[in-house]
Order: sequence, then C-alpha cells, then structure tokens
Amino acid sequence: MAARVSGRPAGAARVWSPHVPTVLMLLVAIVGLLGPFSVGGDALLLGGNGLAVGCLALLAVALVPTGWGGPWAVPLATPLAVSAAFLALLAQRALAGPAGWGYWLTLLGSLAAAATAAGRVSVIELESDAPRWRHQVQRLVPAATVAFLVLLAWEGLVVGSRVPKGIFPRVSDIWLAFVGTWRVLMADAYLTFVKEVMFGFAVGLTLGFLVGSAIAFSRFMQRGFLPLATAFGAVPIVGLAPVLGRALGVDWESKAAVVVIVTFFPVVLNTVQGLTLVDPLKLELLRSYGAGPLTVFLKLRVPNALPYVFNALKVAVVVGVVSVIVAEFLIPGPPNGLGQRISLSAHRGAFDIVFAAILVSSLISMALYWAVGLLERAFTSWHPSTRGS
Amino acid sequence: MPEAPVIIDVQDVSKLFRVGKVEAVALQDANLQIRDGQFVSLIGPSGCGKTTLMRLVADLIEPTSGRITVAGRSPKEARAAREYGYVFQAPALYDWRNVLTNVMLPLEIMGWPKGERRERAEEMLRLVGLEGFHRSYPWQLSGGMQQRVSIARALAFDPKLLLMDEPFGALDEITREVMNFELLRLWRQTKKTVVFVTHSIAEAVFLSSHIVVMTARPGRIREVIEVDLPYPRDHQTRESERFFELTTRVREALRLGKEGEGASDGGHASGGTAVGGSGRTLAKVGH
Repeated sequence: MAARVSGRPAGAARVWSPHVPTVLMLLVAIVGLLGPFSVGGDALLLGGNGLAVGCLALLAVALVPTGWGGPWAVPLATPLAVSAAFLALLAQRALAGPAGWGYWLTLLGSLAAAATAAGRVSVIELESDAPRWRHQVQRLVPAATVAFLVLLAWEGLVVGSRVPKGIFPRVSDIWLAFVGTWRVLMADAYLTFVKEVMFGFAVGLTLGFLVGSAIAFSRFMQRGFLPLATAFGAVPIVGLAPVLGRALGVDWESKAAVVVIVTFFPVVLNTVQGLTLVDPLKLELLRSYGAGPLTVFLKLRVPNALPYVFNALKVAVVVGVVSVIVAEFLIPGPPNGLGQRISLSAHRGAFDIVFAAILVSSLISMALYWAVGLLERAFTSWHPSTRGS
Repeated sequence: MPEAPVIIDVQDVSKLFRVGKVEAVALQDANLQIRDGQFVSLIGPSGCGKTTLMRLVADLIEPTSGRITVAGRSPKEARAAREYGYVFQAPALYDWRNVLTNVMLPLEIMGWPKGERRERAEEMLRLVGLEGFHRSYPWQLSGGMQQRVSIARALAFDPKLLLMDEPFGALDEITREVMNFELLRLWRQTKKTVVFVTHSIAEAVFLSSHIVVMTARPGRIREVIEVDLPYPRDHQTRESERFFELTTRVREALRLGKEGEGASDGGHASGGTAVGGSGRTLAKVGH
C-alpha cells in the first residue's frame, strides 16, 4: 500500500458524490407522478398518459448527471427538470378540475430540482484566465434560471388551483394580453416615459443644477434657500398631484411637473455639495496659476460635482417613475399613459392588461436606470465608485 | 564669479493668525534673500512658520507686516505673471484627468496652443521619467509616481520659481531617496530657483545649496547654513564626512533654537535672525 504524502495524489481523478438535494427533489417529483393530478382522479402515469410518461422519462434522465455529481454535470438537470414541470403543467391543464397532490408534488419537486441544480453553476471554480464568456455564463445562468422558474411556478400554481382569470392572471394570459395590446401599451409608454418622465427629468436636472450652482456661490442663497430645499426633500410630492392637476391641467404637463419636482431637490442638494466640497489643495493649485473664478468652476468644481449629481439622478429615476405612475392614478385625464392603463384596466377586472402594463413600465424603468448608470460610467470613470467596472 | 541677482527678498515679514479671540504668531520678523538658481530648504519643527513663509512668497496668504518682493515685483504680480510652480504635500492631481492631461492643466489655463501643450507635457513627463504612463489615471500610480506627475506639472509652464512644500513627506524612505536624486538632477538641468520645505535634516543637507533653520513659537529664522558639498551629489555624498558635519550642524542649530525658546521668557528679545549679528540674513550663491 502506497503511503499518501499529502493531499490528493497527482493525476488522480476527482471522485464526485451525488448532489443530494437535487436527487431528492427529483425523487419527490417522480413520486408525484404516481398520485392523482386532479382531485379524485387517477394517476395519469398508470393510465399510460403520454405527457406523464414523457415527464417520467425526463426526470429519470435528470437523475444520471445529478447522481454522478460533477459541477458541470449537475446543471444539465435544470433544462430536463424544467421541461418535466412544463409537461406536468400541460397534463393538468387538460384535466377538468383543480389539481390533486400528485400534480403539486411533481410540479414543485421538479422546479426545486431545477433550482438546486442551477445553483451548482455558481460554485464552479473558474480559472481567472478562463474565457470571458464562461464568467458571463456563470453570472447569468443562476439569475436567468430563477426568473424563469418564478414565472413557471406562477403559471403552475394558478393553473393547478384554477384561479379565475379576472382575479389573478396566468403568465400566459399576461403574455397574450401584451401581444394583443402592445400597440396601445407602446403609445402609453411613449406618453408616460418620453413626455412625462424624460421631459420632467431633463427640466428638473437643468433647473436643479442651475439653482445648485447659484446656491454654491451665494452666501445669501446658502443661508436662505438651502435649509428650505433640504426640508422640501421630505415632502411627499405625489400628494401635491391633484393640486398640480388643477393648476396645469389633467394632460401630461401636470404629471411631468411631478417629475420635475422630485428630480429638482436631490439634484440641487447634491450639486451644492459637489461644487463646494472641493479639495483645498486643488483650489490653491489653480490659484497659484492665477486662474479666475470661471476657470475654477469649469476645470475643478464641475468635474468634482459630477459624481454627486449622478447619485442624485439615480435616486430621481426610481422615485420619478413611481411618482409619475401614482400621479396618473391621482389625476385622471385622457385615458392614456401606463398609470392610467393600470388604473382603468383594474377597474374593469382586466388584470392581464394590468400586469402587462406593469411589465412594460418595469422594463423601461430598468432601462432608464441602466442608461443613467452607463452615462455615469462614461463621465465619471475616474471616480472610486465606478473605477474598473 | 559675480553674484546672481536676488530673486526673493523677504523684509521684516510677520504673520499673525487669529483663531477666535486667540492670536498666534506664525512668523515673526523674518528676513531672507534668495538668489537666482539657489536651492533653499526651510527646515524646523512643526509650527516654526516654514510653510507660512512659503505660502506668503506664493501669495496664497498675505503678510500682517513687512514686505516681500519676487523678481522685483509683489507676490501678487508675480503670481499673475505665472512665476510660481507649486508642489504640495499631496500630489493634488485631478482624478478625472490622466497623467498627460494633468500636466497639460496649467498650460490650458495659460492659453497655450493645443499642439504645444501636448508636446511640452510629453517633454516634462520624459524629464521626470514617466514616459509610457501618459494614459494612466492618478489612482493607478504609486505615491512616488503621483508626486513626479505633480513636479512635471509644476515645471510645465517654465516658472522662475519652484516652491515645494514637503513634497516627499508622505513617501517611504526608499522612494524618498530616489526622488531626492531625481529632484537634484532636475534642478541642475533646469537651473530653477527652488524653495523646499522639509522635516528631514538629511534630505535638506543632501538637496540644498542653503538651509534656512527655523524655530517655533514664535516662528523665526534662526540661521542660514550654506551647504558646500560638491556637485554632482550621489550615494557617496551621503556617506562623506562633510555630510555628517553638516547634518550635525543643522541638528545643533535646531536644538539651540529649542533651548533658546525655553529661555525666551527672559532676555531673549525679538531680533530676527542670529546670523552675523545683523537682523538680516544674506544667503550667498553656493556653486
């Protein structure tokens, strides 16, 4: 018997053990196939139902890589388990009544197995010189899988419990509603995001920066206006929406005004900070060159303020979108805009359209936030918060 | 060899700072003449007014009494005429500019044509040994490299005077010695007048043609020591007997200043500097 010196002998193959959570969940799903898929019904598998047989086959195949347990092998079970869950869902939907325990075990077991198997991707140790796409795959797979599983679980739960469409829509209903009404939704999005959010944002940013600069250079403004601006930041602006609606009309202008206000205050405060919190050495340096105040402003104060202003913008994007949707609730005008769409559709019980509208506004809101982040990286790549990213 | 013209003339300068109701004398009755091409170090304990003196010369603050002339003008006029290249304790580089554009900053402000700015900045970076780092940002450089950029920036617009306020204070001993060699080489090459504030006796002796020893509370000039070490100075200079004699002399001057401070409650009246019995210290051309 050869004595082991230390650690693993060179060249010896690693031995993997089964990935226990995934294997267990797959077994739970298989057990479910032996139970009823509808209340009081028989096991579909025993009746030779094609979908149930296919489901069993997929789950059985998924046991192979998870039983072996290699880190690259286990995630292969994810697409198999997801497909199995999907087949189970189709089989249940074809039945007359709500689901029996067999369906729930199969659905939840295979979804859970898909999740735990995908989780193995994130513990794979990649060499630091591994190609970029491998790192990206490692980062994207768990997030994408979780998102997809949530949607599938949603669909499976709503289908299995036969919730009426008017109370809580299925994912597939939302998708159909989106496909059916996307022209209307895009027109709503144009009004809400381009006319109200972006316009309000641009005006709020410009005004905020100008007023912030004035405050930074005037002692009177600093004493008189700055405390007021700070206090104003705490006012729930959306509450003013009905007043603005009365003053500016129920069209898009009053909603844009809400965005202007919620953008303005954070931009003012951060601009003042960014323009005044300047390294005194950097100021003296310019002074030793005999530079005038305009040069100091352009070469030193403005670049110094940019990271502060971008922080304000990132806050303002999030608050601005929320405020504009609520403002559309509160100022009923012409039936356009995503907020109005949500409010009106909810009134008449069309929750598939409500969710489709929420989906559209979420996606655009994320895109806006991402765009501000992109601009921030482009303009302040030197700043510690964005360095090297 | 005729004496070079006096470029900085400090006459009976005092500076008071008022903090609330308390007045502090940062500098009292300072007299000093610095001639063209000298390398003058200001050395002394914290609170001796060495940085204050430098900032007075640079017109970053104004004297309470007395008069300063720089190349025959007031410090304000000299600053407007861009006579000063200032190097601070911290590199004070602009984070949003890369190495090259940082060095170009003073040239931009002074309205140099674009092509010349670039050419000049590249030349300065070559001088401080930073070719190949043009596109780097300050945070990507070590402390020593950042301070080199700041020196290149100070030299870029070819000022008459290089004012350096403890430029290597934040660096480690090894980097500091390297930077000392570099600075000495730059000085010999550019023939600038340098005023250099430091805490380090060895650094002052190694670099300077003249050392101004200062004492604290109130800040005064105590003595001006001429450093007659031959050029070029190198590692052997640091190990020579004369180097040790001079460091000892500076150290003693600093210590005497301290003892004098203890006795000054009594008869040690204000009288400016102690050199040659006159209140006026004339630094001579050293090389």
